[in-house]
Amino acid sequence: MRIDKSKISGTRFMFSIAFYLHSSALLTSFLSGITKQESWIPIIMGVILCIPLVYMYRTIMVMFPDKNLFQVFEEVYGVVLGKIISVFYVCYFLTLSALNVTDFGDFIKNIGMVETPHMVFTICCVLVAVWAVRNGLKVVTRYSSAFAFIEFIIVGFTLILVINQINFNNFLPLFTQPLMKYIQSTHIITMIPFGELVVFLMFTPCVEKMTPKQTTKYWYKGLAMGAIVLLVVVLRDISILGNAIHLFTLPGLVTLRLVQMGNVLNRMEIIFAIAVMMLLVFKVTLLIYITTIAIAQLFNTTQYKYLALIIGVFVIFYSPTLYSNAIEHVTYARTIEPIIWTLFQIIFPLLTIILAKIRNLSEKNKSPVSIQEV
Amino acid sequence: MYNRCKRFSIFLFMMLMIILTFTGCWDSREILDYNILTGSGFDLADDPEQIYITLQVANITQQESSSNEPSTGDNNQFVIFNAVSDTILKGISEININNNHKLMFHHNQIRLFGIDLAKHGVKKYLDMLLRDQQARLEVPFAVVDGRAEDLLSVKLPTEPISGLFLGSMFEDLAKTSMHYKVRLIDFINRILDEGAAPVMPIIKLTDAEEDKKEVIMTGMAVFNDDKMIGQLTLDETLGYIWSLGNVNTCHLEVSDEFGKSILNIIDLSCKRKVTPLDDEKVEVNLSVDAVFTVGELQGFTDMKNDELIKHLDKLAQEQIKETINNAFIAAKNLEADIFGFCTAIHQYYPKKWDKMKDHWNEIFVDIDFNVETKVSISGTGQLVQSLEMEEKME
Repeated sequence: MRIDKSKISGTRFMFSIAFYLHSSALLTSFLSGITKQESWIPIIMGVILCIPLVYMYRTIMVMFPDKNLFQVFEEVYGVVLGKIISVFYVCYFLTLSALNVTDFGDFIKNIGMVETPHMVFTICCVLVAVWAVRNGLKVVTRYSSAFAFIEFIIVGFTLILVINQINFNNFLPLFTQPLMKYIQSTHIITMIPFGELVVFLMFTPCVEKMTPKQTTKYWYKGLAMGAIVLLVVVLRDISILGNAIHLFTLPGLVTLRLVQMGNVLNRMEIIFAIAVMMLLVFKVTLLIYITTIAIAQLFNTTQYKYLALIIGVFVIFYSPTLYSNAIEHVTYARTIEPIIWTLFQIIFPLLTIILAKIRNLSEKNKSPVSIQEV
Repeated sequence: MYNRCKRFSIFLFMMLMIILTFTGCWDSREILDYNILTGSGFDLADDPEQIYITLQVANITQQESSSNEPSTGDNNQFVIFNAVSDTILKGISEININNNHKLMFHHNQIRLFGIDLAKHGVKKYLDMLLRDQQARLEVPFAVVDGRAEDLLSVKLPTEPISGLFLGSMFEDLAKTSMHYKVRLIDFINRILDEGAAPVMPIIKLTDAEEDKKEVIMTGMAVFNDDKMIGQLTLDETLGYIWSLGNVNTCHLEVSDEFGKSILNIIDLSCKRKVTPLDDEKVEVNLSVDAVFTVGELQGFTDMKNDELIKHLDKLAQEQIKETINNAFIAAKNLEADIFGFCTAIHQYYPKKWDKMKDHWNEIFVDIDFNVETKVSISGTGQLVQSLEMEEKME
């Protein structure tokens, strides 16, 4: 049973991954508060740790190319246990959507619209998202490649704008903090955002048939494109703000506020704001789509279009209950969130692969065209 | 048919919703409803725990009408608001309550601290300036020798609004060297660096009669953490600026018994090498590399052209060395590491720094300080030799 009949190409899948990672450039304050001017180290370590992680996701995709994550669970764990695990995942997807919706609202409040209620932004964002979701995955991911390019251009452009203020000494001193801090922030960056790529397993059946080699290629290219932007953004912010980076909730915004090239090119934070809004709307759309598909799958229905709006409304009202202020959010993201996320992003997928291998469930073993190796 | 009607009505409904909800009406404000801040000043109030806030606001309505009517010259182009309070925001909200317009901070050109407040400590007032969405990090800071209020309420001959004047003044100075313009982020960076002493330009009003007062820069105020402890003179400031390198347009005056010359600095760079010799001793080597053109010559009539260039070269080298050394001596007397040598040690020798940081001031005072200079004179302007030299030769 396929819930969404639309198909997307592998390239679009790749750009969606890249774009999803780009949207986390907003959340670098989780890191910069812990490792300060050395925050680029955990990012590099996170990317390295991600290579086996992404290989794991890619393996699930290759083993079950016609099944989404929930169908895989039912196949591997049996219907009852599979459904129970799926319920947990639905909670995870919902929370993730709600967190990003809140981020969207907080961000706009932070850049200027102080008096406007939070709800106005979240409703606008979710309405657009629901509209896209009702039209299927093709519409959800349609602009991913264009936007990913825009994001590349924006990051490059902002880098040129601040080039006269870059001070490479700001990266020093290196490795002066306790080891635990590096481990903590590496864990954070591996779980948020790299580990969140697990959501892409929900639309495996909607991606056009790929050989295992192509699957690997698209996953890693997407990861690389996303990680480079993330790294460049963090390096840029550190080189400009130096030892004060840990003070700010949105280092990227503050960095671009400092842009001054003559009297014309200054106050460029609006570029950052536009980019972030684009990114977050895309991320929310993708997450609401995934939640919708997940719930439809849970109840074995293909009528996901009718679910989208209900889920959107649920997310709108769920998001303000998550945390009451930004400090709570950051504390939560630094301590509890990465540990809970580990369960969904590493332990369950890993267990699934191991069980599937033991039970020899891989789909290609059943099909006659099983020449390629996993 | 029914379907089309339904679709159309849904479309109309959505349009209506968009018009009603997407206007951002909560935060919308007309520009005339704002009091646009052009400068802000903070002085110590009579009670040392409180500050005296002065906000200079551009008078937009006045300027609008003055384009039609002949200006009487007497018009106030700005308005001053005052409040006394223990926190900045409390003072600002007090001003907002007693006013028909709301204050807008985005275009604040300058932030001034009165010298008494600077000596008393400014750190606790920086929080709001960092936290508020409207407050910006790139606004320059300065200390006023006197009261900030006087400087903001004065009408200068060249530019009636002193906030705008100071903003463009520091903008111009920043073209010479970006270290003249101390932004909030620069100040914060220095405060966060253990051992480093923040600096801020110090300005004052001349003692002329009303309407003829002018703003002059008298040097740099030196801070220890957030308290002002002393000041560099203009010459010492020049040495400080040169020691940081990256100077673009600046003058250097050299003179000896033969004559006098002003050299234009085209480009001056300074490489610093900070090496800890052991746990108690640090050596600093500055190598200055400067390119000049001759700006003005007086005297030197006995010299030939190539001799003169060599002679000026030597004089310039000595002059740079002396100026930078003077700045270092001034810093030493204040026991304040304005050059950020401690930052260099912290960044490149973090382990040594751990041992040094507790008694950095003692180490700073007996640093081995060496300046090397390399100078080249690249041009002589429109003249090859001066008028006086020409006469002598004939």
